[in-house]
Amino acid sequence: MGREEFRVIGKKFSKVEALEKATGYLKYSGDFYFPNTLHAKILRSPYAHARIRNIDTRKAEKLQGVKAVISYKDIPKINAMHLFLILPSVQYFDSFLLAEKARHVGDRIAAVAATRPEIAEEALSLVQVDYEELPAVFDPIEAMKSSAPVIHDFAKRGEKKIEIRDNVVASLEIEVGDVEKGFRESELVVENEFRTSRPNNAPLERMVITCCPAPGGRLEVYAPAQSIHGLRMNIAYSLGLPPHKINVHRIYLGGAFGGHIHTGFIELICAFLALKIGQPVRAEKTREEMFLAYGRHPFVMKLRSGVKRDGTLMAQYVEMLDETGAYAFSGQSKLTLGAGFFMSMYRCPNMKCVGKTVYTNTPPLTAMRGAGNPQVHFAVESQMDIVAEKLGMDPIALRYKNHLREGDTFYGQGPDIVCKVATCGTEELLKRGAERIGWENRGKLRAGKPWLKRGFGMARGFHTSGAGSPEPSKFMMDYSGAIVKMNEDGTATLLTACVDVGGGNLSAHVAIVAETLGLTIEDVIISQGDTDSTLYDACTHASRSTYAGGLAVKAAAEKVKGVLLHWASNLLEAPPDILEIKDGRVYALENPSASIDIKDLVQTAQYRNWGTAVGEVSLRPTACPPHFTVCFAEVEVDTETGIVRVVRIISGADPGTAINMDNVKGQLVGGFHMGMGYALLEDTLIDRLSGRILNPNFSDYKTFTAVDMPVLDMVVVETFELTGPFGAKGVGEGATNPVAPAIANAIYNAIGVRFKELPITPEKVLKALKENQSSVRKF
Amino acid sequence: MKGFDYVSPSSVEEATALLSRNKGDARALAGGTDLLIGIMAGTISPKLLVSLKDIPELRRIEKKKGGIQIGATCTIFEIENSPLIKGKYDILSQACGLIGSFQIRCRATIGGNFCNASPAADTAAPLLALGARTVLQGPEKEREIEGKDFFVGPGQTVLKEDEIIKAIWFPEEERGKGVYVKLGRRKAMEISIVGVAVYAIFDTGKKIKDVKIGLSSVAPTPIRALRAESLLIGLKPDNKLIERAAEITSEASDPITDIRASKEYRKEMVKVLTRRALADVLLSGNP
Amino acid sequence: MSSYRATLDRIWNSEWGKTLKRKVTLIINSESIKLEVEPARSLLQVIREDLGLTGTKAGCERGDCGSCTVIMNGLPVNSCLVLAVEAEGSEILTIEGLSKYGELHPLQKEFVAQNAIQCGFCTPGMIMTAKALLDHNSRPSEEEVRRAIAGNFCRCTGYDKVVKSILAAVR
Repeated sequence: MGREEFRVIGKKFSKVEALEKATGYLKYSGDFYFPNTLHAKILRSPYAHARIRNIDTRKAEKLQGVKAVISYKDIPKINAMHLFLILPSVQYFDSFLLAEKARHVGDRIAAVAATRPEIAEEALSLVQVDYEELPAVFDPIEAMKSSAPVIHDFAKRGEKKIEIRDNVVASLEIEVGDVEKGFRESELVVENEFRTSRPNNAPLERMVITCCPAPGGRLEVYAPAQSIHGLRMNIAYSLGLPPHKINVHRIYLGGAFGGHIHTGFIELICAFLALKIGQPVRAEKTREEMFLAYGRHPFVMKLRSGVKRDGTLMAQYVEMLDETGAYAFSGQSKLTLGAGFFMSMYRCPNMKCVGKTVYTNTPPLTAMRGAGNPQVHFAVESQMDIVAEKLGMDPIALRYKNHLREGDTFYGQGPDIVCKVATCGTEELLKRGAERIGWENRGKLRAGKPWLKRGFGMARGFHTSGAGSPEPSKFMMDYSGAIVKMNEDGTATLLTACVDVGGGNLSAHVAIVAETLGLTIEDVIISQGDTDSTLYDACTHASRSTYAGGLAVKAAAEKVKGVLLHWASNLLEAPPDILEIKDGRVYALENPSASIDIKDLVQTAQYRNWGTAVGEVSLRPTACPPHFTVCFAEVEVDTETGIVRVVRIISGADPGTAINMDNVKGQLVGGFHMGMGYALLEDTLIDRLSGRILNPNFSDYKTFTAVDMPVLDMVVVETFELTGPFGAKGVGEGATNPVAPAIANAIYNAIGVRFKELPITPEKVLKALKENQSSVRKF
Repeated sequence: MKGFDYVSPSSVEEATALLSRNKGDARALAGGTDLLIGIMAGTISPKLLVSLKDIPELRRIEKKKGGIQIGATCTIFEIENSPLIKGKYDILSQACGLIGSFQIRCRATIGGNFCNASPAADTAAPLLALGARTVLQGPEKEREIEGKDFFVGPGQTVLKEDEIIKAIWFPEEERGKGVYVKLGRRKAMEISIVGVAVYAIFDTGKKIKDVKIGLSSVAPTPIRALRAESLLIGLKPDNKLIERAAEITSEASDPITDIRASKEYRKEMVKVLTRRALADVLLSGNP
Repeated sequence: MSSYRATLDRIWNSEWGKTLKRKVTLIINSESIKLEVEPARSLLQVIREDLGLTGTKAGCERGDCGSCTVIMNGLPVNSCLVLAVEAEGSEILTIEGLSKYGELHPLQKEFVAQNAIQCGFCTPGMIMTAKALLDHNSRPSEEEVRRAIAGNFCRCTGYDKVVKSILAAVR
């Protein structure tokens, strides 16, 4: 079916839960209140690295209102599982519910459940801990030295114990072709080192987990999780329980950006306390605690690129250092993902990636929008501009020459997950972006005052749409399920485990069902569901939920369509293969007047005892088609204060079919906002002496406000991805990946200074300008 | 928050009596946007809060004794939009508009901004540049302290435990012009890295009759750049003079390095911003 | 006075059962409600926990994010930084009070229609701030809208559609 024939897909419609959100009706994790709930709080280590010589909880236990105080002694001696998404046999395990040794400032030493939060807080102050402070290390390069303190003596991968030497959790080496040969054949070789920062996901919702135990050991769980089945498995495994005892309820999240893919400690501790005490337990994170978990892995990347004089890429080699903090929640996945994305940036016959994931005594990091790709984009897209300049070539021309396109190999989630690119809107995006910004004016821009300098910069990029591949992955689960049924009034209900963290994927699923069954958006209802009632869905991550989740939803809806056509064929006395559904009716293709209203059809089926029209599907996608993006930026640098202002942005994407154009554009703007913050402002500051986070609040961890946003222009180029539901791919993470390098490239164009470290702060700009002694005009 | 008792008297006398009786254990509460954060963080631990919300005399902005008197519990939003302030004393209105957010401005008060005594207080530099005086009231007596002498150190003022600020007063000026420049990493919701306020009065011969330069965030308290001021007074302004005044102002500053900025950067920015503010006020046409 | 000091000390030593509660009357969404609250409880806590109005959100409890914004006596405030006792006799409007008998406020209609809502956590605060703005300034410029919502943190939308919705509601 051509896009122009769609009735619902691509048309303007409001998100299905928008009304509930606009009226304050919709409940997030913190809005569920149950009678007799206890409040849990966690005692956190003031030291970055310390042995616990002794811990005495007796005084705390005696405080009136305290129901339980637990420490390492009281928890199951099972390694905590954080990331059931990765196969357990290859997951990294390096922690318990409560720490036997403090490994970062804020590490969890004990936990309390009490009748009021204030009593729990007071109980924490009564827990006596005898710490033996140990030397700590906060820099990943320092951490790898043989003299560095040992953060983990060992860990496990699956069931196997692994030695951790030099604080290195994992190493990776992967090569395509022969880079040595590639560099020999290059006519220009460029090498630079790039460093990225430590932004926090900073979702606005402060997470709350409530666990309600039932007699017999069942537990009802309400918590923000990007995968309800993942959360169930993580709790079950970490507590040594069979999964069917845990029922996780699906709720809407107030943002996540990767922070709730893994299960942190607070969820496991809360579940343990609830089952131990036999009363509901609620654990709420303060905003400070929200800064103690989540964050994008800082990368140090030594990137060497070799090209021919005509710009053809011959070889790319990167040494990647991935810092994971005190615990490896993601194992080596950011490293693996980074390697795969690196190899997918451009067509290049010879590519090599060598990397390490390293522990430091800092709060553990997680996935954050892009998971390895923003870091890689910053390095590669900056380097491409450097190469272009040395070749005397236009930066856009260099991208045209080498960009990944139809037929090329793409690594969606590391080297293990591969597919061939089928749709690619990059060239159209580059063309339109250049037109819209007025790329021909580059180098000729004027600013209002003598001390202001303007410049243009661009970057291109992509991200995966899910983790599908022809062969099932050996390290990641990637299937989704859906159940669609017809209600007896001719509407449909959709039940999936797929979580909507704000991107509108559930609304996209509703549109898919509506389009398939000839219904309107209003006629498809979402049932919230839980792990008991829903089919397994891997996770809302890797920009997969519209694409991969949508495929399962479409397939389930197609099954229902089959039932409806079968029923209709009985009533219309025509074979099902000449029947079609559209606009609420089933009709015969050759004879449209032979038709029946869906409502009448379903009701008739019910009264004749034919049953419920239902379709259920569990499906693994066999491709991970990349969605492509571009960012064109105009910046203005105040050469006296070093402040960089982003004036104008063209943000473009190829998301395949845009099921809801507003939502696609919303992702572009939101992704841009995060990218601009990554480039210029956001960073978690850690004190180099104590390891304490210096800015665990929104005053000091700064994000850009509504007043700081530039003029935004969006370009959406719709390709038609045949492997996707109605041609759709993802868009959420691609939206952010090219932003930071585009801004860095624009700054270079404005003031001739190349920044290879994020964030690009005013002090760094001013210092570089003074060192260059250029572009500083006296008033 | 740790528990405390609360009382809301309806007169200044009652308020100061309560503060006096509970010396050391009581704090005055106005908007609460700084005080409550301090209590939640545990850095301030009062056992009694004396709310000033029901005392009408503290909430007026009026002409008085040849100047403008702003009651201590006037909110930043009220000051920003007051017909007595906006337009004529844009330097103050503008500074108020740069504080926090719409929500914060509707609760935060001028008295609170002064009592909290952050070196970065946005109302301080403009009011110092306007030559403001603080009116303090204790259980026994009232006293007036010049604005720049009110602040003693970061978070410290001359205010006694049983005193409140009653009002801030500054003299009316017909021919004055001023500007407040705030430097931050983003355009709103910022505690300034550097704040510079310049207020100048011209005589009929286009010479500078009087100029005051207020600085915030670059010393333990908000300060005046007295040497730079005296350099400018009586002269006709030009670029060279302004440049020199900016340099001297920078020399007068004594900033620290913190998570927002380094002291070297702040010192440099004092020069840049003072130069721009002086140029804006002194060179772009008289009022 | 010594017995009063003793009372203060008792409160201070957090004997929670004996904490002095204060009577307070709040007019919430046009309904007058009498409560007894501990002085240390914020308006936000009372609205969410005592009155069950969970549309107003707790994002930071420091006045940094605006997700707790309510309209108090016609002005937008961060309810996390207002003690419930300070709101004595005040008219408080929360997101739940904005639509009457199912009829949405124009701001709510525009937010929904323009798809300005992604995760939605900032939405109640955004709408309340926007309403307060429009009540004071019925024809704001885009710049004025952005300034008004500068204290409402949004991590999802980048503010673009939010601003457009507010401007659309003006018409």
